[in-house]
Amino acid sequence: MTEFIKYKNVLKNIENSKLDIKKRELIKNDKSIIILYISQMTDINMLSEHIIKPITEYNNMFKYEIDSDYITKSIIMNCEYSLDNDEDKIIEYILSGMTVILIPDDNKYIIANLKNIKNRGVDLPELTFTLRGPRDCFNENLDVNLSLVRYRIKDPNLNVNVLEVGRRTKTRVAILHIGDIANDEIVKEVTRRITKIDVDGIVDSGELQSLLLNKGTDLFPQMSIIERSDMAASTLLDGKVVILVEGSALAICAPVVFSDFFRSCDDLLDNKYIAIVGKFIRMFAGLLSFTITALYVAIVDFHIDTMPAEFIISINNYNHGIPLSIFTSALVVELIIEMIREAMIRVPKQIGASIGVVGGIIIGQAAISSKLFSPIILVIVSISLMSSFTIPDYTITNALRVLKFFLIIVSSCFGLIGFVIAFSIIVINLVSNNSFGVPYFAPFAPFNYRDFKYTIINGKDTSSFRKGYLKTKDPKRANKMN
Amino acid sequence: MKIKFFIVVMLITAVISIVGGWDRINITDYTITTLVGIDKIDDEIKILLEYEPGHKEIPGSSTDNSDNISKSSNGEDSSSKNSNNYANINSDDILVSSGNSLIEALYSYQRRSSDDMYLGAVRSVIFSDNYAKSGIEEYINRIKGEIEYRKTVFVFTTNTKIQNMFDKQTLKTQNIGFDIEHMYKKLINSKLAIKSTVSQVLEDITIKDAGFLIGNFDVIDNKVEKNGYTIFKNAKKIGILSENESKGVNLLLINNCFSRYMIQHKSTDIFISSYTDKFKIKTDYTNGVVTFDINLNLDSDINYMSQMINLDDNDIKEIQKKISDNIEQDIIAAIQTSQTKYSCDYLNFYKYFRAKYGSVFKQINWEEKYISAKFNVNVNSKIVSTKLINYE
Repeated sequence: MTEFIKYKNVLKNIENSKLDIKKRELIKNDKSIIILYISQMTDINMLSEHIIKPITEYNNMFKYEIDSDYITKSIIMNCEYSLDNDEDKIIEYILSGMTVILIPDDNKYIIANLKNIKNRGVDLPELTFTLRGPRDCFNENLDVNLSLVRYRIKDPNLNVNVLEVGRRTKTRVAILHIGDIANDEIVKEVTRRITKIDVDGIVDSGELQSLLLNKGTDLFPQMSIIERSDMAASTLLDGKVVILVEGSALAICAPVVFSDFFRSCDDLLDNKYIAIVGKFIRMFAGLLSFTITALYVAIVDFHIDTMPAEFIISINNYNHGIPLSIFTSALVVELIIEMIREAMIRVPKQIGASIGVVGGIIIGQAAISSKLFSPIILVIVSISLMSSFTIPDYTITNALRVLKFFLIIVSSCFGLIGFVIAFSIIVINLVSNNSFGVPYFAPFAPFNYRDFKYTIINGKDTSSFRKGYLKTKDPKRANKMN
Repeated sequence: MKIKFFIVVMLITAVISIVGGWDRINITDYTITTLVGIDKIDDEIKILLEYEPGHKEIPGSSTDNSDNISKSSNGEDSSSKNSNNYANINSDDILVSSGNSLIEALYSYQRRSSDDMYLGAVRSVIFSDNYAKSGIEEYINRIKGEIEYRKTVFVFTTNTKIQNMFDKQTLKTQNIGFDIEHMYKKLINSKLAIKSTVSQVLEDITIKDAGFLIGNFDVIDNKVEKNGYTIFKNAKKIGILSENESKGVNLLLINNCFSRYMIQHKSTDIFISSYTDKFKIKTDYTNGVVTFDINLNLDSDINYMSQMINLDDNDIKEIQKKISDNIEQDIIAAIQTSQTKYSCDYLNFYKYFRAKYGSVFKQINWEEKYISAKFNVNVNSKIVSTKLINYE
């Protein structure tokens, strides 16, 4: 049999390695056609039916010499294939799930896509629930995710730029944008930052997100997560960039501004007045989630004069006999709540309810009965916790959770003055921040009335324009509003 | 570098967590006061304080029978004191502190108090008849100087023995301070009482030639009840106006005043509610005589009749005339009382005169001018709603 002189080294490496690469030989005129694949990542039935069977039948019927071009065009039945002649890439292709067919006496080899990677299918959302909106979520399969976006946007201008990130993982990262809408500068910046990443590997979009941030010390997320394909489509239509990562069920989007984290897709689907009320409630709750405990500590410890007499008396009564100071109580209860929250995330769903019962009823009830904490502090912390749940994007909630402790500590030292200073620092940080060049606090600072109006009255029927701060190529959504 | 920064942050956090803020006072260290009563008996000032219900520990609630502290019942001062200054618990949450002067009475409280007294929740301050007669300016100035005291606190007087005002068992209430405040606020909101707050008194007290009014509460049939106004001149009580005498005062001093009248017409009694629609006072100063023209327009509703009768236009006109006359009489009576009986402008007419003749006001003796001032009162009441339906 003829030796594969060209691929000799590659085949030797494969045989010597522990890569679990399968090798199948088909004899043709005393020459071997070699098929290389990883069985766990390959659809064996397709391989048998569409590759092996046609080649074998052809060999049995005809004695003509065949080459890679002929095989791909006339014999094999697989629709997705390519040809390459770089022998160094053979292992890389196989490891990415492709099937490689080596033809004797041919400079080129065939790369066939017979991938069969197990995925979960399209599931219901777990992070971003919606009442009226579609519920098809991304999963860990990049191709499925891309197909979900393509299904929603049939625009030929939907550009998909697939890059590889990670020296070892070779994770495929797809950058999606609509060519005639998205700002080229932003697309270029996103692409530049991803291209610049030089790590051994990434396994999730979260890791990619952390590598794309402006500075490592930034607390507020500069990118938001997208779990559902409809949100991805909507984001793309806004003129933003969506990044899908192979192996990650969450897409990320850039650029984002602070107000985007309070936007729910239901805002676009519901009556606009209900959406306005909902948005105000979410924004107010977001503010409350990280300030209420600190305000309580500051006012009760330093400025009780600012409260009505009825409140003073009530707080005074309920705090009698409590061994801990207001600040310590607040800090301890907040920490307990955070522990319960962490526990709820980590434990299996089946026992999650038990933790809720233990945390909510037993600890809460027992703490009050034993006069360890006052009921008022539990109410305050509960309001803070419940308020944080109203924010649709949990990534901003995480930042606010950290800031809550910062505000509590500062307020306990300097009262309302400390609170105001700390709050100002947070606002200054927000205002001076940017996400891929877009001011983070837009449209409030810098103020733009049209964008402000669109942020508050968020609906396609209310504004025919895209948000100005994104500087999109096509600023208009529609030519004429009804 | 990062580790050092982290350690420093952790240390600061730990220290702050342990020691807390520097000027922070735990709210439970305060004793929340809701009502303050000031009395004067035989040159001795007595301060009565009501604490919020549920406060577990009353400052100075020692049970020892030392020289300065002893128990008494039903608010009666039965202390066997050897000293002039003493602090005494009357009931579960009433404290009496006493001294030869206001300062000494306060000092007597301070010496025995384990908690800080918090005055920001005081709802009302009540002056006894004796103390009001001797002058309330000192305590008003104390409220002014005390940052914690809210200047919107109500100030009242009482002719009842002040300990009885603090007797919750008799009055069947949980908190007298709140009860009185709510009662008076309701009257103000119903346009039935003038404002009687510290800030109002502080404003009025600056005009020495004029007087002012504050609300008066008495215990009548074991109930706390608003009972007219107390007249002050130079911050000293000079008299009292009963509820009946207060009608004209309310019409002159309350914006959009509400009043009720009963008119006899033909064979029936007609009950009427009136609201001030337009109230205008013009003043003139000619030949050393002050003249006031008071024009009052009211809208009136017929609420009901003791016996239903049909009213035609002539009846309505007649009723309007009767109401106008009644109101006019009330106003004239109120003015005459202030001019003749008390010789004091507690009806605040000086404000209208000062606004027009500012320089003259500084030169004249307003008290004298006010007594001889002429008043022309013109009242027009219009019935805007009869609320009467003919069911026939």
